Amino acid sequence: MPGTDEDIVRELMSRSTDDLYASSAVTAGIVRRLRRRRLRNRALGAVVTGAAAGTALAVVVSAPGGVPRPAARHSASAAPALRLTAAQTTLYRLSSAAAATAARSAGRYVEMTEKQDGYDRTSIIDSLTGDTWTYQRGAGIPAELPVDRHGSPTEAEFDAMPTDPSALRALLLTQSKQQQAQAIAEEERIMAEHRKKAAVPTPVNLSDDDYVFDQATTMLWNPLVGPALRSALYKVLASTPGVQVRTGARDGLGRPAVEISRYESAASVNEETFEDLRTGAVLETAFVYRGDTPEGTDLYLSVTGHRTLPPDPYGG
Amino acid sequence: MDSRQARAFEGFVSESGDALLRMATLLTSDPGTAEDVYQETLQRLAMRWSRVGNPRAFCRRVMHNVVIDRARARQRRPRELLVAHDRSDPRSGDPVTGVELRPALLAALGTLTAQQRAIVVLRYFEDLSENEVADLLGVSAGTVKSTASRAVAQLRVQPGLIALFAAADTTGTTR
Repeated sequence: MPGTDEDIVRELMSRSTDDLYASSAVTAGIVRRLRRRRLRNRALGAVVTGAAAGTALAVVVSAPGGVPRPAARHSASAAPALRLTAAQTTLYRLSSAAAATAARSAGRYVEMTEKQDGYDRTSIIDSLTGDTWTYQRGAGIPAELPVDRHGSPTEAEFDAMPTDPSALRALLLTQSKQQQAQAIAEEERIMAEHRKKAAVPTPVNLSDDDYVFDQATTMLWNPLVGPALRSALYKVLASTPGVQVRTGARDGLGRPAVEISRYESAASVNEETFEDLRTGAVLETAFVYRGDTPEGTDLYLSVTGHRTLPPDPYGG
Repeated sequence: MDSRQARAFEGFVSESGDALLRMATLLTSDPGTAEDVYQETLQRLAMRWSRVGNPRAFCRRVMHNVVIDRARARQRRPRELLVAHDRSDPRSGDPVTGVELRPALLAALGTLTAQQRAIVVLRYFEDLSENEVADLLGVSAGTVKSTASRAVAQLRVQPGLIALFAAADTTGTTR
């Protein structure tokens, strides 16, 4: 033990904490949230075509009229007959609202404005190529990001995705796992390049339902998603265990909303998304870690179509 | 935050997360609170990543602010009874582990003010100079020196630590 009082304090502080390690769940949760936002900002660049054989859960609807009946050709005979819960009924209402909403904004270029953690962000997506331009306004952040070539699936690629809930679920699961694996592989490669002791955050052990919820709510954010696919995504959420629905909610701007949430125990995060019940459009996504501290919200403000590529809306 | 920045952030967290959690534990003198402070600090860092030149320095400053804010909030609520863990000399008998030392040290740190703890932790755990601590906390170097001295003297007489300091005295080492 060292001699001076200061040295003793130094030694005590070091020895009494050297067995403490940051929770991989906390670290991975933060990293994961960033990764997820990055994916959404890129508007789901990686597109997987063709639905893989999956473990889709078929829901046989035995509800009053007015609620759409999902296609039952997939394993219907093996699926248990379920009576819709209140949450599922609301999700089917959202599905109907999305299906009934007019087609996407006219014009090749779709401009989406958001507010992310206090700064303004505008993304312009070329619906034909998926190229994405991003402009931002806020203290200390880049005013413009490099153009992301094919940063989003195109309208046609979205339209080619299945709208049968079972097939769509299988596709979402495959997409999500591939993206996760690609992101981790990329991080490992970069860590290995730049650091001798690579210590990539431990990937959280997600369930299939975690993956599906993430992917479905992320895809709903993309303005190129058409009414049929948007409608099907709500049906997928209706058949995903653990999804909570709260009606009569309001988003961060006070807009009336339906709150859809799911607790992801592996990352200790409650992911909440707020939807417009009249149109099925997304209004806000929030991330709430264990405890009650809201950690980041993304507010969806507007979607506008343009025939030509619009300029930087912030005058940069 | 673009993908390159996000990867840089991930690299920083994986490299510095443990050290930051340890600092938070000492600054708060409570492991549970430390986890919240650690998480909040990283969240604030993530949101400002693109404009942060020195993430470690940013985290030190933010963590201190978070701890001070929490201490002030706690002062507005009924004061909790501080329980000092009066343990026997942890160096006697079997070799002690950090786990055994921790309750005594945290209880002793809990008797300091948040500002005193910050100065002790930054000075002796983070090994910053007096000037660096002064810059970070916005006080003079003289204040850092005198506060650290008083804080160490106070730690020296805490029940859980007194035997450790006394043992150093009896071995004839110079303080």
